[in-house]
Amino acid sequence: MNEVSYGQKLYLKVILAGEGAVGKTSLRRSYLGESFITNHLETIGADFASLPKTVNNISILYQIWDIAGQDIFEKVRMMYYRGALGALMVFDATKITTLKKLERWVKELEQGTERGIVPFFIIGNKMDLVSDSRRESVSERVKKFIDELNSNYGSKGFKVRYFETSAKTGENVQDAFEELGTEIINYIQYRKDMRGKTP
Amino acid sequence: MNKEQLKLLLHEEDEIDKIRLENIKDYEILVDFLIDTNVIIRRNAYKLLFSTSYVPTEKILKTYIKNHDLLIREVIIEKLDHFIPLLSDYLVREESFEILCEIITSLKPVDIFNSIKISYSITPVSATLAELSIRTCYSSFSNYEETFIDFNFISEHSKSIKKILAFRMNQSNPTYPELSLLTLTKYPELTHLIVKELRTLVSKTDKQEHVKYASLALMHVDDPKNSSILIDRLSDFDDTIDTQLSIIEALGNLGSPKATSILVKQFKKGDPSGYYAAKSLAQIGESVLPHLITALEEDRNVPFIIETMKRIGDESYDHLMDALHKGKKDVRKNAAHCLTLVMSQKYGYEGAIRLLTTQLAGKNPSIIEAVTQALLTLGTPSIRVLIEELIEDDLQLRKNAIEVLHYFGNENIELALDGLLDVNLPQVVKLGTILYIYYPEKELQDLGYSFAIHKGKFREKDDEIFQLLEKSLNEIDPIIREKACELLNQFGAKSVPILSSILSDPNINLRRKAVESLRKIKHKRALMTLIRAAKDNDDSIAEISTRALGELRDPGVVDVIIDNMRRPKILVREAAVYAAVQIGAPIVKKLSEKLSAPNQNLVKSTIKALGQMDSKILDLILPKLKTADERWFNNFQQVIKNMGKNAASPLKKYYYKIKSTKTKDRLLILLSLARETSIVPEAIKKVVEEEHKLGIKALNNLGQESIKLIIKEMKKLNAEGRKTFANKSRGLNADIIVELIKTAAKDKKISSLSKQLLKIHTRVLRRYFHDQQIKFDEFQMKYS
Repeated sequence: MNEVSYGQKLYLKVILAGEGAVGKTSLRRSYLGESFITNHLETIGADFASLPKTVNNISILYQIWDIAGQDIFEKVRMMYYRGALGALMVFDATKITTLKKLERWVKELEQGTERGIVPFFIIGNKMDLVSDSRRESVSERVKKFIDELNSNYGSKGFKVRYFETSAKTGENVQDAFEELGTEIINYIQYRKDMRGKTP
Repeated sequence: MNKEQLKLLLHEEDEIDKIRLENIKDYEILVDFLIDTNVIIRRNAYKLLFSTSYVPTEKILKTYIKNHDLLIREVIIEKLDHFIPLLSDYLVREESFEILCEIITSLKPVDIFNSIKISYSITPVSATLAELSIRTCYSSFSNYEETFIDFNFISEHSKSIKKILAFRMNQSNPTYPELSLLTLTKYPELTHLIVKELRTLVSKTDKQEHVKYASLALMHVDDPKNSSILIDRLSDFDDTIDTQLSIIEALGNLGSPKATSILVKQFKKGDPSGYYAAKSLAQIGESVLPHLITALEEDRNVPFIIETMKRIGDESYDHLMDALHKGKKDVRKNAAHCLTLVMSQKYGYEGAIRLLTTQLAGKNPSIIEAVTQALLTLGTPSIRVLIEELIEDDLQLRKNAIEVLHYFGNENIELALDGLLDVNLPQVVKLGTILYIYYPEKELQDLGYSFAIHKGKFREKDDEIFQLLEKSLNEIDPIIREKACELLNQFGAKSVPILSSILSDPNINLRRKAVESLRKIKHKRALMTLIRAAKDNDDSIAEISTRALGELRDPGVVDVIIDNMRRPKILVREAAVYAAVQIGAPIVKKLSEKLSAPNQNLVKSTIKALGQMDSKILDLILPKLKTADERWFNNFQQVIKNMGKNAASPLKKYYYKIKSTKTKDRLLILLSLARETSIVPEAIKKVVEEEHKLGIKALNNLGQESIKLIIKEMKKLNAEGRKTFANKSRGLNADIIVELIKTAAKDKKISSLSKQLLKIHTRVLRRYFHDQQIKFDEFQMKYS
């Protein structure tokens, strides 16, 4: 467990969502600098980890909640979305069906945060197992999906983006998390501006 | 038939169809010819064997084992279903295993199974034993899905099965024990037949695959010895991770509490060992919980303890709570951490937060610190609950909630409230209100206020907010009560009774806030309360309520307002003036009578109030001019002076309407005070004729604005008239005289007036020039 200095930091609760065994826990472990494990360690309910960071000169505390992907946890996991300010929606690039299922996960996020939709990125994981040509065809499908999402949520103060990652090699893992942090900070500022300061 | 006869027949190629084998002995003789040196005899023996229904399998196998003849091999393969019943026996013999295994492994698994299937219909036991024999020596067949092996078969033929398995386990080629162990994982019921061999493997071998599968097999036999052997293996050997994971898994399945300690030790290895150990500990059950609590001393164990407790479920809760209250500092901290997830699984996210915050009621700082950490981990949803704790009756709980909120910091609190703005406005208003009223620091109070109130009004009002404010009025802290009073005005008339009841409170500030709110409510329902408050001994309360009464514009409050004009504090008198002005006409008659009152405060306030009112009110007062005494008239002049030019119109109207000389004279003075210059001719007439003092007073009131008109009137007079004016102008203000001298000197027609005025007013002018620090002699020289 990381020894975390709490207090006077901005708490960014981020959810790792997506079907079971797409590599959510591995992404979390990779971001936290832990070694890659081949065995699939199924998550019960949810797990979390905290990590202090600085984004846009703002001191933040990432609270990364890694929620169970299996259907049997569907009811339980809804509560873990509460208070989330962002999410990484993960699919397995070697199993395209897991990308299609992300539509349902996006809806869950929207319903579960209790503040409506929040910034999220689409993450194509396990890229180390994918050929260049496959990567290209997956990317085209994701682009269509992202265009739809951005037309749905375009007015919400953030933009959905796509990252190709590998928890095994660490490819793009840091970038995905940190870019999400920046997106959330910008979203918070957008909300503030929209709300306006009450005299 | 003897051997020679058969040989003869087999030699004659055409005679095969005529050969009739009469008994088993003939068949066995036939088998001998399969390895004859003569090719024709061999081929015909082979043909004959295939043309008959009986196969002397025993003889064939023995012959093959002895000679390894390819033709006989072909017979075995072609007629495999006939050989199946014998295979289990031959595959557990040293001399036949290798040679038969070679044939078997050259075949497709499906063909083998089909042969077993045919054989099974005639000799099911032998066929099933053969299946087991083949599974344990042929890797491609070991995982074949279809099977005849079942629980009943295993229990009924354990001896034969044990013979096969024991043979395999002792074979020197490691593949066969490994395949047997793999078979055990498919048929765990077989395990008890070779427990001894399995234990020996686990205890002694260094072959990782054997230990791995043997461990997994042993987990199916509930015997304390198995746990002990697995524990020893895990602690004494440096096995590969895969093997260790199998042992850990087996220990979990065996469920022996003895394994608890070694499993907890796996946590320090991290994932995946820690994760597997957590799963196994959960299988052992709640007896592991005390060990887990002890393990909380080390931070690195926490994720795995959580993993275990999440699986154990409810029972973990009490142990964690106990640790939270009685454990060492580090244990407390980590117990709180575990509680976040264990409790959220049991009670839901909100429930976990609420239960954790109830732990804040104590005074133990390390518990509070631990719970704070846990709540911070659960993040911003905790903020909502913590804000609600601020209105709990338990003051310690409140204090601690404030502390935790402080840890969160304003940015996070703002973020939590912002999240609710679009989805749950009533709640955000409630939370904002609580922060504003109950939180002790201004910055956060302001933040709460901004979420609850927009442009001076609640973003949304409901009964819950009203009840919250009502409850807040019962607090001990006067500041909370004052703020509640302040906000209650937003509920209008509904708040009047409750705010009125506060006016009997001994706390002056509170009464002030209540009155301020009543003033903002501006409702007739509050009239009686405000009248009472206007008489309050506290000047600021009297001030606010008096202003409020004025704003209600109710004629019934005239007396109390006039009374407050007498009060010693200017604050209250000013409020009464303000109130009187607000009420206007209805108070004028009664108020104007006070111009001759003996109380100076009352008179001054009356002058001020009337002077600030609309000049139309003069219609109500002017009739008094005729009868009013001098004191009244003098004070009324102040009123007109304050009204200024606005008063001119009604005064003029009345002047022309009235006939009484006395009243007209008074009106002349009043008009001059209202700077009405049209009265200059009348004033000069008064000077020149008998009432020169009145005229001079009027001209003095008009001041320099009247100079041009005086000069104009002087030109109309003859020399005698101007001389009379000059002579009677004593008392005229010096500044007017100076200007008249200067202006008249420029006009030849009336230049003599200049000299006359200079002569008459020399003394006055000298003093005036002296006061102004101007040389009078030069002026005198110029105009004399």
